Amino acid sequence: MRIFYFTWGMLTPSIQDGHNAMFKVSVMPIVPPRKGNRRWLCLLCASVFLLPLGTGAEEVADKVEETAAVAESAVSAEDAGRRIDEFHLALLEVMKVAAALGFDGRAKRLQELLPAYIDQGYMAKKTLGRKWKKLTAQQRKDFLEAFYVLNVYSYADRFSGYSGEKFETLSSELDEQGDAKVESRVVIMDGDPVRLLYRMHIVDGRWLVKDVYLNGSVSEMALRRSEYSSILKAEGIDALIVALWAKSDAMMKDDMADSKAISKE
Amino acid sequence: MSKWNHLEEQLASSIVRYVDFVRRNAALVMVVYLVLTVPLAYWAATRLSVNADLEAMFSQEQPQRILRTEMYSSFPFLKDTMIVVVDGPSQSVVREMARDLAEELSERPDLFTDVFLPDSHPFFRRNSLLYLSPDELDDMADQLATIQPILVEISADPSLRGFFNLLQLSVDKGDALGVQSKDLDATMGKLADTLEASMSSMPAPFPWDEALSGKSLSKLDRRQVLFVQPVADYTSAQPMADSIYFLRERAVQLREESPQYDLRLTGEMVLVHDDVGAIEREAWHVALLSLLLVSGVLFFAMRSWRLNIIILVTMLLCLIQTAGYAGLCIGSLNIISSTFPVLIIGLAVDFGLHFCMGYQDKINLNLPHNKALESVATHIGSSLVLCAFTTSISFFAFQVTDFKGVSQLGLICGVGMMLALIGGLTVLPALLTLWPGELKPEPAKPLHPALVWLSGFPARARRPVTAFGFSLAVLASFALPFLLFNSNPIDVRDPTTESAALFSELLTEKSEVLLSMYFLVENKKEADTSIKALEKLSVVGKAFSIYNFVPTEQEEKLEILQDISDFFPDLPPKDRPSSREDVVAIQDFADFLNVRSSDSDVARGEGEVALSRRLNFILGALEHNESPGRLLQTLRENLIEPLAIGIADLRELLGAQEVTFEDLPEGLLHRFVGLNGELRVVVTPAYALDSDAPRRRFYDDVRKIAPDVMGVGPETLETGAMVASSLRNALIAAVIVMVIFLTALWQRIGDMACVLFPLLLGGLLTCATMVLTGMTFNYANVIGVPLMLGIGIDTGIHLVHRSRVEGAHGEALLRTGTTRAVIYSGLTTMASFGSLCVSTHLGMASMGKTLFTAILFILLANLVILPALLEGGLRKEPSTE
Repeated sequence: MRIFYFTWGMLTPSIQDGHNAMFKVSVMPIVPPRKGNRRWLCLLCASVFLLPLGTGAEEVADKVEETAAVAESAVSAEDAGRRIDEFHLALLEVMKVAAALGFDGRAKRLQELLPAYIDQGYMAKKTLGRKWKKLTAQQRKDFLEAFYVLNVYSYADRFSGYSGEKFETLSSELDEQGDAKVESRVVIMDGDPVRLLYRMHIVDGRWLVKDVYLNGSVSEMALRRSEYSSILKAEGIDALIVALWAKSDAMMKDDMADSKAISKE
Repeated sequence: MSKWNHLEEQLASSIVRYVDFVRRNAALVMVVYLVLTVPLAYWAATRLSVNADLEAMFSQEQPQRILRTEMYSSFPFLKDTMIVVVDGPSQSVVREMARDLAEELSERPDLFTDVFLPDSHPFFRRNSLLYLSPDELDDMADQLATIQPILVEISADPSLRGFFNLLQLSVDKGDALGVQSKDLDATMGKLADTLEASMSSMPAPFPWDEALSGKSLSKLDRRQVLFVQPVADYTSAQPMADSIYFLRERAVQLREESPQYDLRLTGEMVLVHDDVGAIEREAWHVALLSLLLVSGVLFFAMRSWRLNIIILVTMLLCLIQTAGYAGLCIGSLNIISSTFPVLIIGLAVDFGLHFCMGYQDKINLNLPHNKALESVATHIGSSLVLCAFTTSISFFAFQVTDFKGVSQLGLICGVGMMLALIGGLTVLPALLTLWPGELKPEPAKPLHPALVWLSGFPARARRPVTAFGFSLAVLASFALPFLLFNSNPIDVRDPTTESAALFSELLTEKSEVLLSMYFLVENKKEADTSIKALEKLSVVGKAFSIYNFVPTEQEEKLEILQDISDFFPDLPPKDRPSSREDVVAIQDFADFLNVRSSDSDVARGEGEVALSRRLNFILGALEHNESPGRLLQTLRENLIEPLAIGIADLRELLGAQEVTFEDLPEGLLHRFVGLNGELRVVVTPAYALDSDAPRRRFYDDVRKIAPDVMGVGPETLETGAMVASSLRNALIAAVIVMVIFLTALWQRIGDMACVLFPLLLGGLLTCATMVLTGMTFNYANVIGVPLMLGIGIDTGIHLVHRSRVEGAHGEALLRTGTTRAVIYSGLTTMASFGSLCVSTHLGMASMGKTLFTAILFILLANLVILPALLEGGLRKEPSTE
């Protein structure tokens, strides 16, 4: 007798790449990756924007001393809520001076800001799932780099101006595994408020965001994982890294074009 | 008469005296005979039973059987397991059905001692994901990430409203969302089907699993398998009838309620159950057909209803007596020995034909009744006695085999032969005397000249014919090594029965499950060592003990599960929509599709068109229907409930916790850990075991590491070898005994050889034909072997005897009444077995084909070769004596 009769249709482990039925959701359009020019792109991006790219771990290590003091009180859900408040405030500040800073300037500010609130290292690894373990040290380093840049650029792209938005933190609670869930929303002047749900965990005594649910339901981690895994499976890690860079690149160019258009007006 | 030796002379005269005695006291003899038959009939009716257990056919001293018996004593739950298979279009519904069934069965301890549904056991429902490899789990996480938004939305609003809103979004914004329009259209097509079924209140669950995974699930993916141990009563021919009826009733119910779903049973004991049922059912048709055909041949042979009826009545009485003997002395028959009536009928009719045709010949010579009887007794009587003795001796020779199926049959038929002899010499003359009126003599018609020429041919051309016979025998003997015994019991079953069909299906789809092997070890260390050694073998797919059910790499797997759980925030469920809101959502979606249909820029697929039409129907029905609530309810049952079940399952699976040995469920433990603490190690093959050769290789290789390995495969192999060698030994023994007997009686090796050689040739030709047509011996047609032997001997003895009585008339022999009787007797047997060929039961049909071929060849060999041999050197000396 074989016990491994188990099957689970909904959870069928193997999917056919790119052939997900009914509801294959891929929110971010991806520039078709070009193979072979990854180095060139890296250099270009790094040299032009001079982004100081550190790894998440180093960042965190630097902050250990200053956070040690708050570690004791950091396990409460309220503290997680307060952290989100801080984060939102910091974002608002960037938004208010967005135009003056320009894309470049915003990216630089966010580059310093995000690691203090978002566990980017964790997110980067988790979006690859088990595939992460199979990468070489160099591939990991390259992927993290591309991921961080894309993350920063996405924020820079998303928070590109201010028209009276308000962030409100509604509630915060701990779940069974000790993660905090912070429910908040963005109140927009003309439109329904947008719900944002943060899932946070404690790293070295600090609450850091590990996932954001847009509309309170759509997991950003799931979105990215879905998108990345299909590229990774079809074309490999190098292509994925190229794709991430290409996307960052596109975001920056779009924004520059937009602001040029605005300044011309 | 001078040619006869003393013994045979004495025998003949005592038969004449006996038959004369019967004639003079016909009424009294009949009464005594009938009175003696009554208790036998009573025993036949009351004490005779069929033991359907295949094991009853085999000596229990074979190594595999000893191993298995030992194993069952420590693993009682593995004995007689039935396999219950639930199939259907929706995986989640099938799972639900299987769970309900398992629950229902476990509440009936009077019918089922054990019920095990591995797929839906709470333990596996919770922990089964831990049995996937980390990579598989990782793939699953990717897939779930892809459908995360839809799953979250629909689980927050599991309603018609939620569903149709989401569908509308997918159709509308599909491009932006990256939805494949082809897949979406296929989904809508399926949805249209579901709606259509719902309109007629049919259960037709929407295949969510396929829609979400984007992969069509195979039948096997959706299947659920239960292992059930029924309560068995071995005194009955169908020991598990009650449990099987119970399940079959459920199956009928299920098919009525949900026509697309199916519940089927199989397993060794179900096969036997169905087989006995099929044999009982078919046996009636076949018996009737064969009775008709036999009567037809008998009538054609003698053109006399009187003789016809007398033969049939005599045969029937013999049959009753033999059955009575079997009931008294044996009681429980096995599947093979239960076919004894076939043999008795064949041989008793043979006796009757010889006697009655002889009698008719004498009457036609204008002899009066008493003289005719005396003459028959003189000429036919002693050959009947010879036949009966030789045949029953060869039947008794089957006692030496380990194959109880055939040895029991041999015992019954050996005794039956004697009873047939007594009946033939008693009932036939008595009834012929008692029947009112005289049999009118009919002048013998002269033979057709062509037949006269033909009948003389073997004797005239004795040299070429003999040479031809010998070379045929030599040629045919080359085929012998290729003759196989098919030990696969499924090949003799009726393939139209559900259990046999399902079993064959499982064998092709899952042979590694049905044909895995296992052995017992003392402790974990031993188990681990042998598993390690076994997994190095190329024939082994997997080897595992109970300890392998503690998942490996749990930490990593649990982490992946946690990651997946993190995709799904617990959303506060939306308020359940009112029926009104559900209808509005459907209306909105229908309107949306209608608008699309009027837009010529939109390319609409077939599925969308069908769905749009169906939705408009549904809305019409909802509007005009008196009870729209019921239609809505059916829609919910078909669309929403399967999804809700699926989501609940997913939640349960994602909540898996670390599993330790102590957590393993009892159902699993008592399948892998014996009552005395032995461990069962299971070995599955690495490739499909679709014939004997790969099974043999698998067995031989594994046996090197685990000498005591057992399983269905080794058992059938061992049984096949045993049956084949048993038959060979029995045949050799029977032939030796026959040779000694006939030589002692006739004191002439030549006569004995004349009987033996045609039989040998017929047998060889049958085997060669079987090889050439791809037939094999199996558990059913092996009974042809003793019958072939019996009829072959009889035919030879009748012919040789006739020739001995009337001198060496090679040419005339084939024109005698004996030859006619031999031909008609062969024809009746062929007719009765030919009728078996029409059976759908493979075993019965193969028996029919084999015997038909065998009798045909033996008859031909006797008619062609025997006269030539007699005419040749073998029969030269008698005239000088």
